[in-house]
Amino acid sequence: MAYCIKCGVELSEYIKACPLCETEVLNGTENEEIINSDYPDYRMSPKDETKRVKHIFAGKILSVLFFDYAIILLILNILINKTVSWSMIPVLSLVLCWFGVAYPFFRKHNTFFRLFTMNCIAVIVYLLSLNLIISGDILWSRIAGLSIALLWVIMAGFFIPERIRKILPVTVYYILSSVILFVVITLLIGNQLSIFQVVLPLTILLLVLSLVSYFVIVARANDFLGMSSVILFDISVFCLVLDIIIVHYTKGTYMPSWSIIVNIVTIPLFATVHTIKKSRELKSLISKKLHR
Amino acid sequence: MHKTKHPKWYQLDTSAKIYPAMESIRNPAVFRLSMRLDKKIDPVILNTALEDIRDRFPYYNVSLKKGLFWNYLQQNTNPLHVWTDSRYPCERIYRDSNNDYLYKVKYYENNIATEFFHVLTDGFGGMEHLKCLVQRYLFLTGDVKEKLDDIIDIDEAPDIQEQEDAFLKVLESEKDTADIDKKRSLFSNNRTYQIKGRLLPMGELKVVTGIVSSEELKKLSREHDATITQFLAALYVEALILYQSHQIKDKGNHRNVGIQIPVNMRKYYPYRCMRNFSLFVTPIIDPREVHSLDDIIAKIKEFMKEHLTLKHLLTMVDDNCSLAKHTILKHVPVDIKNFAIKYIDKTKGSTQFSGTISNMGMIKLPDSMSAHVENVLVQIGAKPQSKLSCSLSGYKDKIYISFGRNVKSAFIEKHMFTSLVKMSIKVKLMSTS
Ligand SMILES: [Zn+2]
Repeated sequence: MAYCIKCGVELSEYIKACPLCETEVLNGTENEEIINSDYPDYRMSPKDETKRVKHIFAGKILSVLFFDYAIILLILNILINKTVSWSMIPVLSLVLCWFGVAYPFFRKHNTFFRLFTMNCIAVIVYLLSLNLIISGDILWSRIAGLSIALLWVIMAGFFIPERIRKILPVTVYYILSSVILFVVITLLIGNQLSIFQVVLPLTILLLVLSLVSYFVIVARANDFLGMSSVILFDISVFCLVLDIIIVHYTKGTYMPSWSIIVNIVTIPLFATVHTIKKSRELKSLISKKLHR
Repeated sequence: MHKTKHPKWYQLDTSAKIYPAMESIRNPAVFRLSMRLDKKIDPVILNTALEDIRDRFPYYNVSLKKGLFWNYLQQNTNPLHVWTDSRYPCERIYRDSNNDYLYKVKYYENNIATEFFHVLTDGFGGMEHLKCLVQRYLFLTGDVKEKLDDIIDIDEAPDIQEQEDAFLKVLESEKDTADIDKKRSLFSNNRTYQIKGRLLPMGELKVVTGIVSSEELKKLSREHDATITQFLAALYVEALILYQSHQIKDKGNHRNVGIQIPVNMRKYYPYRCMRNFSLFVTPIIDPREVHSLDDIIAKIKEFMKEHLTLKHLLTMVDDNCSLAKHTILKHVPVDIKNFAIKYIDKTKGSTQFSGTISNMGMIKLPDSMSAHVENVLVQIGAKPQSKLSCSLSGYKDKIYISFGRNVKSAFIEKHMFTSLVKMSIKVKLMSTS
């Protein structure tokens, strides 16, 4: 049994120094057996704040480094040529490097996919501005940027989280993305006005509508009423946008015509179906969110 | 556990309403209850036990959501996981790493511990949950064969009273008696003495637990004509007074010392409430008026006698409900409310007392269970203002006096325990390293 000679209290076997006066326990039992303490000695914090602080520190150092280089280059350029010209290219590269190397340190939750996305965006912006600086247009960089975007779309297929994979099968994803692929390739080769103004907007509209509807139906409205309200909604939006696109292409205005009639029918229908569907949910939601 | 389309939801109880606003790493508003068994804990069995009892405590298996005027609790169907214990108890519960749950079950060697965010319940509700969990665990390991009385039966449906806001119930049932003191003198506006000292790194809590014989302590308290709580509270106050004169040399600058003592309202109103149903009384002692321990005891006793009357308690309940019932204040958006609560708590609320002493009382377990349970500990966290708290629990023939502090100095604990030793009480210490 161990005692603190100063305080007169008995100490548990594992205690090495009195927790009250910090006097060390003399002739503590020197036997080899490990005595379990009443409290664990390790710390397992779910969020390791210190680690993050260190990371941010590294990020800050890199940022300062890149920033210094950029400033030096700009000053050199101004001193030699009295204008900012050639230095823009390395400065832009430094910005890109910052995105690739330093930026991840500032992110709280790093996943490969997020970094990949950020870097894709950074590279596209980089190429576009490079092209713009060098030749004053975005002729070649447009194509390069689009191919990177396509690469992203294809890669994204691998990173669809398990949770969403249940709702959105990978096959659907690839069918949709290959449609885009097709459109973009036509776009790159043909470069016709109609593709920009009609095919692409319509494809995007279809893609967005079908994705959103799919999510909504599976997650929130997987019954008859829910499905019909989503489909009604889709019809009215699709008709409206289709009308506008065609009118814009043929006449150059934004005034929808026939789709208004469609909407006069579908919107009240949608509203009715939706209200019937939502009334119970709505009631409980309102009472929950607005309780006083 | 299938996902329900209309998850159940609960309003926060009257006391809980302030906790989401106050919560921070420095002030996690977490308390911890633990039991030490006679065998090493098997985490797999513990997890099964936890899953087994979850449906009996639907009001604890919730996540915190934000409404327009108030936060609320919504049924949470995510899987529950037990945690390995970590070095510092009562750490902030990070919801996103805890499947959105507001409590944790931890294990270490022979210990099973639960840590609750105060929004869910107070120590007395938490203790019922822990008892039920340990009983189920012992049942699964085969150490306890039969169902035990005095422990919540997991095959029974939860009583509606368990999830109700007992404060509002009390007010409703007592509204005709009109025995409420409308002159609010619950809080003096005086700041009390706050221990000075640099705080330990965020999230750290140094724990020193003293084990004393309950017979010896009872006898000693009786000699001073006080209950155990009163006696230890007086010792605590004495230590605070000494520490104040040690830290602040100029006597003119000495402040009053306030000691916050939680009162279990279930003792006064027979509700089977499993949520927050405790209030605080805070005896304030002027260090210039007391000269010995017995003086302090007399002061505390007088205060308790005056304040632990049904009339006064009812006034406190009414006071506690005042924010929730205020016609204008209750319609303020939750974020603004939280901001105001945080500010008021920092500047006024938390400086109303210099320390907290919380007594869970004697914990009684059925014989077949207590054969396997070696100790029952309670730990409450320390606020950044008062920096130290004390919690008491009694089990079998021992009383556990547990201090948690977030400053370096152990002055108060040292004074408490060495005084006890001087009064010829044997003290055995346990401590975090
Ligand atoms: Zn000592």
